[in-house]
Amino acid sequence: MRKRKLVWGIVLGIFLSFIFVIEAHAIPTFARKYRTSCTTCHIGFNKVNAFGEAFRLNGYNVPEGDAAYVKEEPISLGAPAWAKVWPEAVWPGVIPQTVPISFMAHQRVNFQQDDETSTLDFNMPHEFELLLGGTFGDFASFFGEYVLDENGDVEGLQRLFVQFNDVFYSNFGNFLPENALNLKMGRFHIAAEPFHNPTRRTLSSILMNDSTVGESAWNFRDLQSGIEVNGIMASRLRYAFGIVNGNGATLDDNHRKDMYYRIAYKLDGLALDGTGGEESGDELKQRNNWVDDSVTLGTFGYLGTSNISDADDNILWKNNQFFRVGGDLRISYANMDAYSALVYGEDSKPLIDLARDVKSLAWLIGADYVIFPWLTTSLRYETTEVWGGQSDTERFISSLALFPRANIRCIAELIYYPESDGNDDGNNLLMVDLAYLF
Amino acid sequence: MKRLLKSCILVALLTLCSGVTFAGNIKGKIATRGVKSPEGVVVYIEKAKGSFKLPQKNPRIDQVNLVFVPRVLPVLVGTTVGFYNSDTVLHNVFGVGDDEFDMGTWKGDKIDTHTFNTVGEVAILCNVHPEMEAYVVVFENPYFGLTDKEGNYVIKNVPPGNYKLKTWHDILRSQTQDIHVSQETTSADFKLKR
Repeated sequence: MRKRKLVWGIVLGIFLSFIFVIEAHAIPTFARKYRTSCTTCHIGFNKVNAFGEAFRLNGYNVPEGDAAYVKEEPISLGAPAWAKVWPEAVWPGVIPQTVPISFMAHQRVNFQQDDETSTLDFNMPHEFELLLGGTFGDFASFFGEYVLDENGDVEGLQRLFVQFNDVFYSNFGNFLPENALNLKMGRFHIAAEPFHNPTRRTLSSILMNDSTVGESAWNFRDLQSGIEVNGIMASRLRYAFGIVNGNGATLDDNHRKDMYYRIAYKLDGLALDGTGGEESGDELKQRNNWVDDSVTLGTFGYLGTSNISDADDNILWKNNQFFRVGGDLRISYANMDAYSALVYGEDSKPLIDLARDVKSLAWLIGADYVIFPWLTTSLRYETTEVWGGQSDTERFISSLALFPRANIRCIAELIYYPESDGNDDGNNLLMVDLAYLF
Repeated sequence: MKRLLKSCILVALLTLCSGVTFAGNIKGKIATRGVKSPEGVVVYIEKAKGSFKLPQKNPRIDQVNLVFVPRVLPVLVGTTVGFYNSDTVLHNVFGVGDDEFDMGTWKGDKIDTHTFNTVGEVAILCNVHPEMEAYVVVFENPYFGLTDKEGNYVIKNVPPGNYKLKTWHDILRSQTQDIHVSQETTSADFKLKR
């Protein structure tokens, strides 16, 4: 019976994926700056292609020569030659010509079903976001996000960070190779996040990013305030190391800092620093730019301390020391992008009523497929398992995304929770989401 | 006809006797990556023997609509450059780099000059308008050429021989090529990046 439900769930998900549609896009601020389409960096928004990833890792600068492609000339805060006058003058810089703000809106329909009832909710608007992103030349870049929810309530400031690019290469002497060291400060998604949440293909976030252990609220997805050092070595090795509060967007409630790392190596395809691609000439857009035959292997880890609080933020239990360590694999071939990840974790005291270690394991496997540049589909299986104290979760996600325009996306997505071990992981949910950016 | 033939022979003999050798030209195209235009690259011969005459007319840099014109001026060492202000606003001119000077601030018809006696790169700035900049690049011989908007350059009247041909740009990395110059035109192209 269970198997039949599972099979039907998958079939239904795929079927719906092909009936309904989805969306795509990047942040229009960059589209305006370079006078280029969102599809230059995105395989339909939010997912980025190899060039978009190189653009992001390069501090929102076009690798190997941003200035040649900029159509919206920045405002000069001093000609570059003023650097020769320093320290007798302020080091020269630039700011964006126009205020670098973009907007994104979501209209959503949710159909949810549990054992007894079902609901159909017109969740419109679902979300309205102000996105800002830009650069101060190739010296530094910034990104921010401010979110209003469906009731007009202010969810508030989400990400807001500045990254100083190529520190000790072009800015403070040429002590290190190009791209070797960037410094990020602010509130951001940590590089140890198994999958970069904002650029996922599906509406649903990655389960292992969201999952918590016991009463500890920490998870990979939460934005963290702190400092990250990152860079690319030999074009294909990416590293990141960060120190953060570990307490999400709220003020730190302990004196210890959390630490994380990520190391990844990309074989073949466009290198992480954007080299190795075809010469693009004066235009950024390239044909079939979602194809990037490559294999990327990575490892990541997080070491932290969290407090257990009640709903009123009263601390009930201090110093749950925990770690997560994992690896991920991504294989891109032709129109297929397959990926998998596994995370193992241990928490020292994540339960209020029981002082003992709790181990956890999460893994996923999935694939995205580009049917046409304007039609993509995704299928993902993901599960989390916590030994001692929390029910396990597993789910299938099937999604179909349609992009009638580069800045408009319609996604139909089914989240299916098979019943396992008598636990009720969640209610099956069908979402249809229309998003548009400008 | 006889007279013409005699003249030709005479010219040939005089040339041989005087030891004069015919010079060649170097031309080529510069492709760039990482800047908007290949304009403003100087291609030059690093070392050349001989003594060289300064230009009869001093080159000039003007200030027009808050822009230095030209933005890049290659000159032979010892050249005097005239600085103009065609704008109706105050401008200052000062140089930093391998030769440093400050001409003060003025507007109107005043023309000031500076003689560049040191080989190297001098950035020209205006402390009233920090976004303005130009470069005077000073070479020890007159064998240099400046690229146009398409990236084409020509270096004229180079004595035959073997040389190192180099590039200068304020942002792009310098490159060097070994080149043999004959009496014919020699080609040398470059691909420059940051």
